[in-house]
Amino acid sequence: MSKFLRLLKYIIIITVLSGVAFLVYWFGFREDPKSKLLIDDTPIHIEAIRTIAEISTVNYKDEVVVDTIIYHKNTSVLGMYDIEKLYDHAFHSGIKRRLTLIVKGEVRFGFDLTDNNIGIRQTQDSIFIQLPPPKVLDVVIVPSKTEVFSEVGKWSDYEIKIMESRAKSKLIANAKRMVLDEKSERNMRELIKQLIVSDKKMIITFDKK
Amino acid sequence: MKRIFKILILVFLVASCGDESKTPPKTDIYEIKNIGLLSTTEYTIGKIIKLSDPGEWYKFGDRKLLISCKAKIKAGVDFKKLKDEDIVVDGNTITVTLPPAEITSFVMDPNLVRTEMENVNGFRQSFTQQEKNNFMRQGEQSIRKDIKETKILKDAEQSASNFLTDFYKQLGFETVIVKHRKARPNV
Repeated sequence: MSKFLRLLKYIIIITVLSGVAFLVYWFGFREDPKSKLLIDDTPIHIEAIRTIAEISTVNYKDEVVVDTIIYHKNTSVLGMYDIEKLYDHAFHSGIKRRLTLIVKGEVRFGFDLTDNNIGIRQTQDSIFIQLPPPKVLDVVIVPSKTEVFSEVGKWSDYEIKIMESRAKSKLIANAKRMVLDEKSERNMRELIKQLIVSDKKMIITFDKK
Repeated sequence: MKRIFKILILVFLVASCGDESKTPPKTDIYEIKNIGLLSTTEYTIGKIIKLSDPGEWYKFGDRKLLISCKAKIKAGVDFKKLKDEDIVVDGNTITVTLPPAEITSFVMDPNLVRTEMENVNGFRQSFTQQEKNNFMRQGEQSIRKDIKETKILKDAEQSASNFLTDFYKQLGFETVIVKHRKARPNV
């Protein structure tokens, strides 16, 4: 009986100590991820202004997930001396660090005419228009459409950059799988025909890549 | 003492039975849209995101953060808003009435985002990427709001006029008149 009481006493002590430690952590150390911290109002500065001439004809919207998991090299419970490893093994399935981003982005296809690379030639009954090949003009990724879905451990800015670059590449690859070049050319033909009011026959061709 | 250690091991073993429940969602949602945007001006905008977090009264220490970021913003006109009656040909003269200029693209390249200074002292924790993303979102909203105060839309209209003038002159028109419809005031 006395053994049982002693065990019970230890359990109560551990529970109370854990509770106190938890409260100290919760109020003293933990940063509330939901707290609405507001940034200071700083001005914007214009760094460059460029005159361009880009016609976007197809917009591809997609959502991609990029996930990076780093496990502890040895998740054996025998590694008791490493409290952090033990904690991760107990509560994070042996995951040392994990970051999952959900990125909603847009890929714009179109024609870059900035270098005035549009050729126009006319005969008595026809108009010939030569255009450059379609290409990816923009990959629109912004913080408001990027969500940090899961974050375990510390992540450097450099690692985030790599992950966001992966998301960008994924978006472009997904868009290219849709064979949007042809669609882009078709839309450009319609657009040019809308801009040119003429009875002449219109022949629109595109340079090869 | 041995018993406490045994209990601790037991607690950890029981807890370790749980699995990581957060699995990233698989998505295959996409949308393809036909557009007709002529972008004629690109502004590169820089901003310093500044944050001071003194924390609650019961927290010891504070946190400070400075992030520099850049946004590439394009402006131009939407040809999809062009109606048939907006293009009038009279002999060698063409008159085009373009829709008002608008922002056509807004990109914040992650490669142009840099943490310039991060200072955490006392018992405070470092900024998480989730928190940084939240500050970046606020920075984005601030740039979107402030860009309206610049001349980007005026420049875009001017450049669009120049582009169309060159285009129609190559087609043989002697006089090209480009007008812009006025933007409806926001109600």
